[in-house]
Amino acid sequence: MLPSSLTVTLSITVLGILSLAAFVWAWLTGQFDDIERQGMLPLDDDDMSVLRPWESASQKAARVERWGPPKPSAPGAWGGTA
Amino acid sequence: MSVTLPPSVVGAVSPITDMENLDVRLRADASSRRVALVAIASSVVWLLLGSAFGMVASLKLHLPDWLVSSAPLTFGRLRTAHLNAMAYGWASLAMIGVSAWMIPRLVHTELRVAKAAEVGVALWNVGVAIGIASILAGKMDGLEWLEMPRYTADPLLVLGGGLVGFSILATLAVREVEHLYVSVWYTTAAFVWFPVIFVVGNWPTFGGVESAAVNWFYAHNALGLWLTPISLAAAYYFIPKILGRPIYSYQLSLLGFWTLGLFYSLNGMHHLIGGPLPTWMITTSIVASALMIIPVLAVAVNQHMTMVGRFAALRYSPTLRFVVFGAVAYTLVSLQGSFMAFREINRLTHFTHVTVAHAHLGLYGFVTMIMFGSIYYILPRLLGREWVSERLISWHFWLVAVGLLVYLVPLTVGGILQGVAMGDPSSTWEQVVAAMKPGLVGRSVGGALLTAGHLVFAWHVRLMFRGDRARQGLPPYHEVVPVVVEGARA
Amino acid sequence: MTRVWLLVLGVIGVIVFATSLLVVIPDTMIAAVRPAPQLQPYTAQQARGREVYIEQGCVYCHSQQVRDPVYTSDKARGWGPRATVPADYVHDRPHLLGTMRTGPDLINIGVRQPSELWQHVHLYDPRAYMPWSIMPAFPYLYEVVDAGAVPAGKTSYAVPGDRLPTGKVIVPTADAEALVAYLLSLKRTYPVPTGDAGDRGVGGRSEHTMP
Repeated sequence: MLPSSLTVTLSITVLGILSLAAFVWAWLTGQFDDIERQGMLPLDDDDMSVLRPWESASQKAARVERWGPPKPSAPGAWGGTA
Repeated sequence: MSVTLPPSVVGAVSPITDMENLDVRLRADASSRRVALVAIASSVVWLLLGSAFGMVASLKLHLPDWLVSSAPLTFGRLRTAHLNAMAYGWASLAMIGVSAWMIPRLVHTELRVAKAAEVGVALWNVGVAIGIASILAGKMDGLEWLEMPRYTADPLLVLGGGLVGFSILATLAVREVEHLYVSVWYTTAAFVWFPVIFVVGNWPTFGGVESAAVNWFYAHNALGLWLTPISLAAAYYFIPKILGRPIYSYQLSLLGFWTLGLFYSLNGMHHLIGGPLPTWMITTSIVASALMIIPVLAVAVNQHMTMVGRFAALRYSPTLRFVVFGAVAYTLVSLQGSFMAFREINRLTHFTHVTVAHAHLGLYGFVTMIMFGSIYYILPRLLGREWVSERLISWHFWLVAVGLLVYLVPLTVGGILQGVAMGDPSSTWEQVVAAMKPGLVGRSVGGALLTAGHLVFAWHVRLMFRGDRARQGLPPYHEVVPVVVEGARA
Repeated sequence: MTRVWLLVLGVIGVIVFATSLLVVIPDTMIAAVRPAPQLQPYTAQQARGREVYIEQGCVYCHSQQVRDPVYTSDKARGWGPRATVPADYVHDRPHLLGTMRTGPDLINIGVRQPSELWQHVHLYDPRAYMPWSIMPAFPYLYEVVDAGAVPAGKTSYAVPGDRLPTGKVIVPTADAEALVAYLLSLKRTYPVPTGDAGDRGVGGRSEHTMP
């Protein structure tokens, strides 16, 4: 299963080391800091405080507690006609 | 940043949003409006054309003497026109439209050089049109997934896609939001990867088995580095957006991105298992195909854990219905693919209709369904009106969900039986054909249901664009209703 | 992640890596493969026939490769005396290896069906010979003429079955002649050339290493 070509092995090793170096550099320069906040990027406060009809009572309560007074949803908010 | 609005609008508040967020969304949508609308509208036209080509091709496989008297209607050309119209017409243009809409939303910045992107969409359409016409005329490059002529149609796709990519990169260069969300990674990567692989795939100097390696290097990467990333980007955007919760593990999504790129790009040779190529190349691809489990599980875990406890949302949100269907299909088709890359399994499935069914689980179950869901979300926001009928959406969903099942199950079974018959050297070819035939008929039935679903969808999209049956009495929900308020902020 | 250029660099790195591994390096290795002396380049007519094969989309139902007998039953099925190797395809530009077998493999069809009559009748109407066949018919590659009115210098063929009215015969167009010439040239039965076999793992060898 090992490739018989030295060129292949060398290329993989070199490119692999380069990618690893790039990843480590990115990590050390803080590219992956504040991961949690990055996950929130598509969502703004409105997305978070709008009440969702499918959520259970406890889910709704958690939402109100975290994001403040609930807002009603507008038609089409879920990508249909509702 | 907020803009200074005229006094009559100052302090105006819609019932659901505050000014800052609304302002960002309105401006983002306004900037991408033309690009996205043209791309999406043209994609639906290609969807219908591709469905017609596919239906006729499918019927011809069990009605082989139907429409044989003219060359443009021969199976070999119609099947090819179907694949290219769907891959480069429907799927690619839908993805281009969705990307152009999503990026400004995610970086809170208006789409820059949008004119270039608009020209790009037009060029892409012209390129595909030339490509399909050439295919029907028999002028094909002779490589699967690369049939469109390399000197007349293909440059327009490279240029058109490049212009859209340029617009996206220009927007990213001046963006308001510092951090790049994972959907931005996937989308940007796709627009960089596609021109590279397309040019490599079409490079005219390769011959012999090397031409086969380059062919399947391209074709699998068209799936893995163009169609998959943008579809995943959409899923990573719409699932959190509609549910109102962030992705379960953002770290996992980053791992998923890099492993997808690294492993998926090496899969291509698994289309040539058993073939006249150096073993090391084939084995590399088989290993990479197995390693795909890592990014696939990352996506599956992320999307399932985000959905968990909220599956009831599927009853309320058509977008989520389509997108989650697509996300589940992604997991299934990728696991199936990893499985089929092992030589022991491939020995049975290679050269059979199992491969065709697998391709459709991916391109339809995953990519197309996610594009449907995305379009259901985006069009109202760009046209300022709601979808006319919940029932039309429902009909669409059920026709295509059931249609896909009716397509896949018989065709997979037929393919397995075909493979078993082929593997037995004492069977005659008549027996091999007899084994696959019921599956081919089943596929036509499934295809008919899918086509019906497309007609419903296209009709609804047309109603949406025309706007003459928009609901009266309710304001387009994202428009601001002017209200003068004392002491309002500027 | 805040730096677009870093993302783009990483993305380009990924594709450069994959292209080097699966395109550039193999190209340098396979470029050294030499055909066997028994394998001639296609004649002009055969090359045209190859184009016709592409124009009709034959590759979407027919493969052109024999897999190793250790691995599967291609050889036992009579599709060739040996697995095909890279050297068998040096004149093929582009390749037509195929990924579907709705119909049988064709790399040695010139050996299995060497009769021009059979090939032409089969192309005109596959069901003339095999009622169960689902192959498309290609009547537009042929002219239908009265049996007595065949143009001078042209070969005509009678077709069994219902497609052709009595008293008519088919005369192949130039494209049909070319296509059949190409099909009849498909023979890869000579012994495996050994010139490039050896430590690079290509040339004489293909996927023979299945346990």
